[in-house]
Amino acid sequence: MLELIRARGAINVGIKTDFVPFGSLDASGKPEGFEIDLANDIGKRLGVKVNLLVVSTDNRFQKLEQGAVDVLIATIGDTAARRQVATAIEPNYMSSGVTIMTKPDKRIETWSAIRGQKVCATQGSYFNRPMQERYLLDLQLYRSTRDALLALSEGKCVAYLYSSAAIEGFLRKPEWADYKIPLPVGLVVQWAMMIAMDEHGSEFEMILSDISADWHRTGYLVATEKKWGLIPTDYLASTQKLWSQTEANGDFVCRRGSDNQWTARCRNASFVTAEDESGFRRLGLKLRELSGINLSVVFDEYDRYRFLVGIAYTLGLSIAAMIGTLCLAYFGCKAAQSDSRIVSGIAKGIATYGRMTPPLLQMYMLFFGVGAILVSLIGFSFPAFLVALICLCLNSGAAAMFAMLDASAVMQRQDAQHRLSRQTLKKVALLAQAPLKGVLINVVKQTMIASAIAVPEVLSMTTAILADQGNILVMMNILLLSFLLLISLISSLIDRVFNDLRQSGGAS
Amino acid sequence: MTNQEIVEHLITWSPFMFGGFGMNILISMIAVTLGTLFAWLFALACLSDSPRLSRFGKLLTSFFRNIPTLAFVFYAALVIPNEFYLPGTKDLVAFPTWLKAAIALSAGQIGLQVDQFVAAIGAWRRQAHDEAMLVLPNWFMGFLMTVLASSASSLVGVGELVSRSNTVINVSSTHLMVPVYLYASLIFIGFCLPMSWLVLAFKKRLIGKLVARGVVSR
Repeated sequence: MLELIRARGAINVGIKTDFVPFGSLDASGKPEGFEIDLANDIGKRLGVKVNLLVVSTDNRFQKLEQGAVDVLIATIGDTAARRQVATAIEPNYMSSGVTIMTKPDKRIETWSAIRGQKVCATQGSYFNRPMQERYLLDLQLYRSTRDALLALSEGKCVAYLYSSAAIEGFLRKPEWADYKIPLPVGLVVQWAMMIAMDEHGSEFEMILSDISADWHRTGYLVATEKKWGLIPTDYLASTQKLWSQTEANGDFVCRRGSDNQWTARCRNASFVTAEDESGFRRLGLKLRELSGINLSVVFDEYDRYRFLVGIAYTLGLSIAAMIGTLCLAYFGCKAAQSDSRIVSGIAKGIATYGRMTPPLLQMYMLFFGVGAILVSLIGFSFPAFLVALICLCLNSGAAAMFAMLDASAVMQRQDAQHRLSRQTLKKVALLAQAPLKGVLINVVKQTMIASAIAVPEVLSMTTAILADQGNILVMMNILLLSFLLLISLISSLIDRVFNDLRQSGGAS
Repeated sequence: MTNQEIVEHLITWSPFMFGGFGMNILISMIAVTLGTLFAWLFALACLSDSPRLSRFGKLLTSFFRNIPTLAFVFYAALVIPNEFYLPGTKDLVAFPTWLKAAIALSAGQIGLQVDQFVAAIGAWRRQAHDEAMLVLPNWFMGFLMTVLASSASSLVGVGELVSRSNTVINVSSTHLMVPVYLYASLIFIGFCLPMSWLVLAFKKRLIGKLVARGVVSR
């Protein structure tokens, strides 16, 4: 890796820009913050250029595994699970915990007070899983802090669960000034720079680790903390003391032993305890050791549960969307054939909007845009599932409507009096069988777009699992396979419905 | 925020947003080019005399047809490496995300086009050349669908129209949300709707010609 960086003359550092004051964009759109200073300092010490690449909480480990970034300095909590997917640089450079922010009018006094409630969160945070398990939170996972904060402000959840350091940062902005942090900070972890798994023990790891040690010794971290106006942490004050301590002979207390590891008391103490492993989980770990395939989705209870939830949501959304599409198509078609020019014009206008704009844009518009207006008017807005359903039905309903209008036009050539009605529906549907089937299959495929507004369908759950486990290839292949199965199931279902229609005497 | 302020804001950001739409078009053109190439090959395979090759072609086609575009987009973004050495050299070549998105979208094109190409090639071989030409309008509709689908690449961080709309909202104010999203919708409609009218008019003329020659009946 070090060779590659020198050949390139630049180091690619993954940073965040949604985490004031650790990483954010300044007025001219350039990244700035505590971690950006660290990144630039590394570049200076290595004598190479620094390419700052923006990563997000849900994609940062994927970027590392793909090699898009050489090192992550991206507000990453150093946890045991993450050490399974990447190499953490010791010593750690910061420390924080998890807390929630709420609207000023919400009264929450204990963590258990939000048990079972809808809580917004960002996909890929280390504390999502333990907090969900401990307090049975109904987590709404968003892809970015922006989306999660918008959802909180629109009342789609009672609180936003996120890193305490970030939330303290948000509360300094005028937009969020009257929000509050009602609960004490929990699950405190230290932050680490992360490099790829296979860089463990490499020269690259050594160099970064020496740089980090030097930061502690020279007081650089404490000074940078002050520069960005952070509330001084006990953690950095104590590590500066520890790392600059020397023994009687002048050696540092914290130094590398013969195995190249730092002195035990200078290391991160949280990695002495092993996780409890049940028999079934141990089987999965064994398989992973032997074959390198991480099937946590089979062996890990939590991952298995969320994947099944994802499948259930996808199925539910698919079936609802297919029914909605057909209903919308039928009534749209009737309206478009109406004698009233206004009615038919409106129907065709809505259908054109549905057909000619991407469903993703429609979802953003309805969920965030119209949602905000509704909240200010009546105090609540549509849940994500309903928004996704409406947009999917609008897009596919329009396509199905045009297909049925075409079929109806064919019948009008034989019988000028023909209009779509309950009596002729069967004939029209059979005539439009091929395009209708295409539209219905397509709407099932499009249910994935709902992941953009935190509907916990199968793509959301897949990316959530691979963000935690780092098993990109395995999870993506499982996703493709599940969808192949789902579509062939639905396809044969549609064929059966059409066959039944035909046999019940609809065809002429 | 007054209406005039909103309009001024949108005008200021227009070049940025149109630049994003340019990205949608670019991605879609690459996707359609690649997709057409493969769809053509698959169609030839489906029509092959060898039953094994024909079965293989049909299997591959149904694979591409049954998997959502968004799944391909995530797959490509996550699995294709970001930079690689040119074979045999020491030159590092970057593989940008938008190019990955284009490749992923071409997979969706394959599912869309193979059947039409099978019909067209069949017609051409029967000397029904005009009938084979019917593939053209359908092919172009596929391009328009890809332009709409290319918005999905915003979810993996490509700076196209939808993601640039989000950027505009982020740097200005959330009050601009509905106007900005509406504006983006208008850009999509403004491009796709006239194009689809042209295509339909072309298709009508083509069918009219076929009817006149008695090739197909109304």
